[in-house]
Order: sequence, then C-alpha cells, then structure tokens
Amino acid sequence: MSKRLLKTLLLLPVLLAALFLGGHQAYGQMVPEITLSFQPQSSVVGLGQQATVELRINNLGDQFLSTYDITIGFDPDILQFFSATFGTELGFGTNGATPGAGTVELSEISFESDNDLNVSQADDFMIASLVFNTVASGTSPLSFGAVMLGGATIFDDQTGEPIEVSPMYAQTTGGSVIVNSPQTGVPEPGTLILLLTGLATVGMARRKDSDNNS
Amino acid sequence: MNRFLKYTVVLVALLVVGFLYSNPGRADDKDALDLVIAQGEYEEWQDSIAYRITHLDPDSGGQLTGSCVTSSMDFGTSIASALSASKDSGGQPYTGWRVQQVTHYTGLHTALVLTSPEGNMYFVDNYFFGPSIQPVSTVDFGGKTAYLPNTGQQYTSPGTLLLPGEWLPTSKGIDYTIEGDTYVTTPNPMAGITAGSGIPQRKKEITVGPTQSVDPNQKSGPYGYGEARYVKGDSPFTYTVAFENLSTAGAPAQTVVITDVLDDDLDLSTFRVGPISFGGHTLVPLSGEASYAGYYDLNSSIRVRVQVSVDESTRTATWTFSSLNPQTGEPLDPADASLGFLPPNQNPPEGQGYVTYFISPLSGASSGTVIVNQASIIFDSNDPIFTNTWSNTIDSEKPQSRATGGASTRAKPDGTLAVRWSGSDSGGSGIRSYDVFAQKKDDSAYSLWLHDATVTSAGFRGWEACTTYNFYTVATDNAGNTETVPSGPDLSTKVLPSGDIDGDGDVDNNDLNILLQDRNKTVANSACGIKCDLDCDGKITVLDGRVLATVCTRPKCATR
Repeated sequence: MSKRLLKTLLLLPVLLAALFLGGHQAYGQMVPEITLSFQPQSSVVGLGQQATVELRINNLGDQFLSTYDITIGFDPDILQFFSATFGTELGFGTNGATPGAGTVELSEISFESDNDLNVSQADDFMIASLVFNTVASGTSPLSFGAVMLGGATIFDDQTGEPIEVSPMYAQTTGGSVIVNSPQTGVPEPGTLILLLTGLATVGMARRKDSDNNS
Repeated sequence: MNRFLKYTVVLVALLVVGFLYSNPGRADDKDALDLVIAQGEYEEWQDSIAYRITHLDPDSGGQLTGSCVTSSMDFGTSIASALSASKDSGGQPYTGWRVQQVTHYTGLHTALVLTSPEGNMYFVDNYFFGPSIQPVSTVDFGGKTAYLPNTGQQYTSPGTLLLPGEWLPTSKGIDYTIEGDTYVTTPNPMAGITAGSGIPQRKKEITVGPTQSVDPNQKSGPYGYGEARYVKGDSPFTYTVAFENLSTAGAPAQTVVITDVLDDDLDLSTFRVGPISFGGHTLVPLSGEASYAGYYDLNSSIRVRVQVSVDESTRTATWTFSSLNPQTGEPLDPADASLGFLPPNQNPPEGQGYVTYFISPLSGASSGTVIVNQASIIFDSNDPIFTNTWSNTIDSEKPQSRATGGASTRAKPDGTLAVRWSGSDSGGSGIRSYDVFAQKKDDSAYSLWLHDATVTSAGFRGWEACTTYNFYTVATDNAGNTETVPSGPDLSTKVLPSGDIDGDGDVDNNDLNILLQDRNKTVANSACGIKCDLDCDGKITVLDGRVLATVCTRPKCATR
C-alpha cells in the first residue's frame, strides 16, 4: 500500500465527519436564538444629558411575543430612569414601567389574538425605548434581571379553551452607558501626543532642511 | 205588598244560594271521598284499613285520585320525589316508575300505588306521625329495597304487589319490621291506639285505575315505554284479559272460554295463574300455581267452575268458566237460556270479569324481541271474540354513556364548570336520563351530582380552582336498564380559574388590573390568591395576564 493511498484512506473519514458536522452546524444556524439586547449596546453621553437606549428583541422567526416582563438593571449612582416608550408590535394591550432601586421593570400584555400577532409582528423589533437621566460621570452597565417572555396560547385539545401561554426563552446581551464629565478646555492626552508628535516631526524636518542647506 | 213578598222570596233565595256556596268544601270532600272509596265492600276495623283492589290498570298513569285531603300536606308527592331519588339494594336507581296517589281518611294517611316499568303495580302505605315516631327510610318493592331519605315524621310501609281481588290490610298501631329493625309506632299520636292491637274493623274497596268503563273484551300487559312498549324483560309480565257479557245481550252466559296462545318468546315454565274475577267475585289461586280448578257457589241454583290450564304443545292457556247445577254438579241445561253465571252487564260488574296471569320472557330473549299476545273469548256457542293484540318489545341492553371534556376546563364567569356527557342505547328504547357522579380527586368517594338528568350538559358548582375533579355518568334507558357503573372516571379535568377576579360576572380589564397588582408573587403570598393563577402554576405572572386577555368577555378586554 502506497503512502499516498494510506493518507487518502485516513483522510476520507475525517472529511466525511467534517461534512457531517458542518451540515449540522449549517442546519443549527437556520434557527437563530431569540435575543434581547440594547441598541446602542454602548453609548456615551455627557453628564447632565439624557441617555436613550432601545430594548430590542430579535430572531423571533415563526414565533411571536404576546407578553413580557423584563427587569433591567443599571447603576443608580450614574443613571436615573426617566421614561419608557413602548413599541407597537404587541398591538392593543396594557403596559407599564415600574422603576426600582437601580432597576426598571417593563411589562406588557397584548389584547390581540394569537393569529393577529403571528401575522403582523416583525421578527425583530423594539420593545421599548428607555430614557435615563445622568446623575454622575462614569460607566453604568445595562443588565437583564428577571426576564419572562410569553408567546402562543396553548389550548385544550378537547374543549378548545385557553389553558396557558407558552413561555419563550432568549439570549440576553447587556450594554452600557458612559457618562462623561463636562468639557474644561484642557487638551486630552491623545491630543497632546498628536501635538507633540507633530511638533517633533516639524522640528525634525527643519533640522533636515538646515542640514541639507548647510 | 206583592212587591215586598217578591223581594222577600228573592232575598231568601239569595241567602240559600250564598249559604250553599259558602260550604263548598264539605260537598267537595264528600265527593272526593266517594271517588276514592268507590263502590264495594266496606268494613270497619279498629285500627286498620284494608283495601280491596277490584281492577288494575297500569295505564292509568297516575290519574287515579281525587283528593279528599283534609290537610294541605301532600305526602304522595313527597314519597314520589323520594322514590325518584332512591336506590334499590343493588345501588341502582328506580326508574320508569309511575306514582298514583290515594289520599284518604284523615289526610294524614296516604296510600300510594306505584306502577313498575314492567307494568306491575305496588301498594305503599304512608303515615304522618308525631315527632316521637322514628321515621323509616326503606321501602321494599317485590324484593327490591328502596332507601328513602328520612322524610320526617313519616312511616312508609313495605311495598305490596297488587293483584286484582286481593285485600290489602294496612295497619296503624302495629309493629313494622324493616330490614331487621323494628319500628314501633306506639303510642300512636293520631288515635291513641297501642301497638299490636290490630283488630280489623274497617275495610275500603278502591278501584286502582280509571273508574270509567273499558273495552269489555280487552287484553292488557306490561305498560312499557313508547309505542313499542319497551320492557326490560327481567321480571314476570302481568297479563289481564277482561270480558263482558254486554248489557244488550239477551241471556246470561253459561260458559265462557278464554284462550291465549302464548308467544314463543315467553317461558311456559314460568306461567302462573293470577286472580280470576266474574260478576264482582274474585277467586285468588294459590301463589305460584301453574294451573287451577275452583268452584264458587253463585247462588242456590248456579255453581261456577273455573279451570285454568296450559297446553304446552300448543302453547295455549285456557280459562273455562262453566255454570253447574250445585245439586248434581252437572252443567246447566244449555237449552235453558235464563240460567248462566254471567248475566248481561246491566248493573256492572255483574256481567263482567277478567283473568290474570303472570309469565316471564325467555331468559335469552334478546333486545328487539317483540312479544305479542292476543286472547279470544267464546261465550257459549258464539263465535270467538278476539281481544286487542298486546305487544311488548324487549330492551335488555344497558345503555352506554360518558362524561366528555378535556384535561382542563376553565370555569365560567358565572361560577360554573361546564360538564358535558352523551350516551347511546342499542336496546331501542333510548336513554331516558343520566345520573352524573362527581368526585374531587383524591377524595374517597363520588357523590351523586345530578339525578335523573334529561339534559346532556350542566354547570358544576362547588369546585375549587386548580383542583382536578372526576366525573362519570350512569345512563338509564326508557325500559329501565341502567348502565354498569364504570370502574374509573369518564372525565378527569382540572378546574382553571375563570378570570372573573372581581366577581362581577365578566372578565375584563378590571380583572387584569387586579391580577397585575400581584404580579410575580406566589399564590400563597398574594392578595388575589388562586383566582389570579389562571394557568395554575402557583405563581401570578404576566403569563396569567395574557391567558386572562384571551378569555375576556368582550373584545380587547373592554369593561362594561
């Protein structure tokens, strides 16, 4: 048996396994996980300004969101919850934002039918837009506390009566808000470096010119 | 003066009329009493009353009584109601029974006549006593025992199978033994009669059935159900053949021969002779006899011989009434048209009579078997007179039924849990009613929720939310067949809260707001409690809120 043939026989199962795994990986990628995230994930605002962050849900696919109860955490020494504006993808219903110490609990219950939600709801949408006041400079994380998401209604097979609502699960990605101190006119370190580098370059150029002239 | 006289006469007339109208009750009571007592023998017993049954008509269907009640109490109704809720000793309900009522005497004493689904008639005596009397809660009907709810200060006698011509002594002030326990009716608060002193002094004769005339030559049998006269066929049929020498006849009958060819589906070995009557005289053969021969001296010149036999080869039962010379024992001279035991029926019942027999269907008679009978009656040498044909259809099949529904059932805002059931009856008579039993899961026993329900759905109350209840149904068909009690529940369902948290009869946004106040609390730690746990998971969350939104009474959970 030649070495080439031996190599080929050894490589064949490896290639087949790779194809198999690759295929499955490709299939798994067809159903991305539902995610909850902030948009922008990280924002910078000056102290005294308001920070606006969207809470978004993505990758609903063939599922739909009929209700949620999401607690968001932040650093109360840096941020203060100001307001929430809810999205429209759950249609007519009831919603509310309940601020706590370093938290705000957002909840909404849709009064729309499962069918209407299923037809009209986008795969990715903004759940709510949150506005925070900045109370101190620094970086406040935006984190997810308790998250409860509800999807389709489960009906009794025999009676057709609604029994319960299917819970849904999502991958959460936190965010942050950076609050800067007010501007004082003192150059930042980066600017000084650029200035010094520029001056040095100019100085070196002049010296080279004078050397050449002499 | 004439005018004054006229006014006086009119005034007196008006007073008389007014007096008569002011006492109608007395006249009515008397009439009613006459109706109940009817015609016939009447004897006084000291502390007993006896009835003589002169005619039985299971078809009378409760039309018997004229009420001579002197009190407003209606024991007949109470007993009928109790009977309908009764079980026999096998735990099966009495169904298909009809109750006739004979209220008499003081109004505190009620005689009931009950017709079984097979057409047999039973007599039950009911008294109302003072508070010192132990009420009796059982009634026996031909071997079955009905367990009546205690109805207070009442005594109900064992049921007695009625046979035409028999005396039924009913007693006050004697000991009654029921189910091994002795209930002593002393002291009798009604009459001060001591126990056991039952000296007969008083008898009444009543007619059970319509008092109006009937077809003179008629056959009747088990009443059954519907046009097909469905019967279970598990108990003897009672057949009666009535005959009459018409009032327009020119001579008394010397010989009457009744023949009845017994249907192939009747079991000849069970044939039993019942009471025989002619001209108001009744012969009662010994119980259990398959043939009979008896004599009755009608007067000094006529002796009546009655013979009853069954020819098994032809399946024919024959009753022969012969007029004999009492001195010689020989038949009367047929040429002497003036003599005979049954005169023209100008003064009933002198010219009429009947024969009765009992016979059971073959034990293997299947559902759908039609049992047909017709008798013929021959007066002397005349042509046979054929009676009507009496037919019954056997329905021996037990019906089937079941409660239906899902593993979970959401309660309605009106506080009921909708339970449905359905059934079928292959025997033919159709389902008459359902008993529906309910059990809170893990409770030890089922309880009867609905008795004799003719509907196929109802709202169950008294449930606890998020608790599982078991249901099963037992159907009874119109022939009296009762479904076998299932070994397990037909339906096991968890009761889910209705969503009507504020209890105002609907589900709306107001209820949702109450629910959300306890959001993310356990049921135990919430003010709302289990009413808000619409999915019964022990926690109150927006998921419960969303369920509530799906069961709102109005679109978009709008408030009223």
